[in-house]
Amino acid sequence: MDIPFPISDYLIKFMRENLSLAYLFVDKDGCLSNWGGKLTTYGIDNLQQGDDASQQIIFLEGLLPLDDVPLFLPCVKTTNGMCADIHLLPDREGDWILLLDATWDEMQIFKVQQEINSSRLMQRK
Amino acid sequence: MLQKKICMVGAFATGKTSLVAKFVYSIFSEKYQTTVGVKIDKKILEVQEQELNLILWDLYGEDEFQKLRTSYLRGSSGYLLVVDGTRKSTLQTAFDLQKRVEETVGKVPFILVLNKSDLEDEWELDLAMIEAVEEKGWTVIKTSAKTGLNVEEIFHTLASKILEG
Repeated sequence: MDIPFPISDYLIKFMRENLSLAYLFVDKDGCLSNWGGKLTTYGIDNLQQGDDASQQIIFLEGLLPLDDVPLFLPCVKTTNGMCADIHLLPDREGDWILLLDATWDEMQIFKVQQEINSSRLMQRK
Repeated sequence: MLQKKICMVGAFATGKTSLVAKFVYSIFSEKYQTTVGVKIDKKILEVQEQELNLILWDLYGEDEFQKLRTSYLRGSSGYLLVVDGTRKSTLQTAFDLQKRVEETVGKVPFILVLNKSDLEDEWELDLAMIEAVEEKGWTVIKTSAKTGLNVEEIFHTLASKILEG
């Protein structure tokens, strides 16, 4: 499907401004080679190019390199309390990691799930 | 530093988040708060005379409507299978989960954690059930996130098993 430019342009702007779009690129040796966007929103800073990525960004431990198949990890809450949808995309030279703010989604799901689980626990008493 | 990822898996409200909170932050809350998605924490341990950075993935609890998302398990070196001793059904959930985790990450070390031992007089699990699990060759440890009983031990034991390979 070809997406008309005004729509793709709008989507990118929307994600950049409303979903704290951030990205990382990790080469095939597991070293961090490129990054950008609002990484500090997710508590990711002081990055060192060429150093082991999983030593700098702990959630990457064990995930990379990908097996040529994208991986989606919804609602990942990191140590600074931010919730992100994490998309991992394989590429020829390494893997891209895309982070999008999922705080609003997490809050909505939490309200419903909390109610359901609490009422199930109450029914048992 | 050497790092290993481990996952907390089990039915909802078995105490996975409370065990992590006790282990990492030395806190316990009586208030139940469901986990959405996964929460990631870390703690540095000294195991077999070496420092190990344990990356803890605390996964949302499984129920009949929310099945485990196996993508979260990728790269796990081990896992804690958490059961609420006061709810027998959570043991069956643990059996089902163990099969699915093994299908995803292979045969990696794990421990069956029987949590809420501070409520042992309300337990639905009896000795015969626990012995049946141990007969499968599984390591079974009773814990209480509330009192702290064996909380350090489950993480240290799992870390040792991982390092032993």
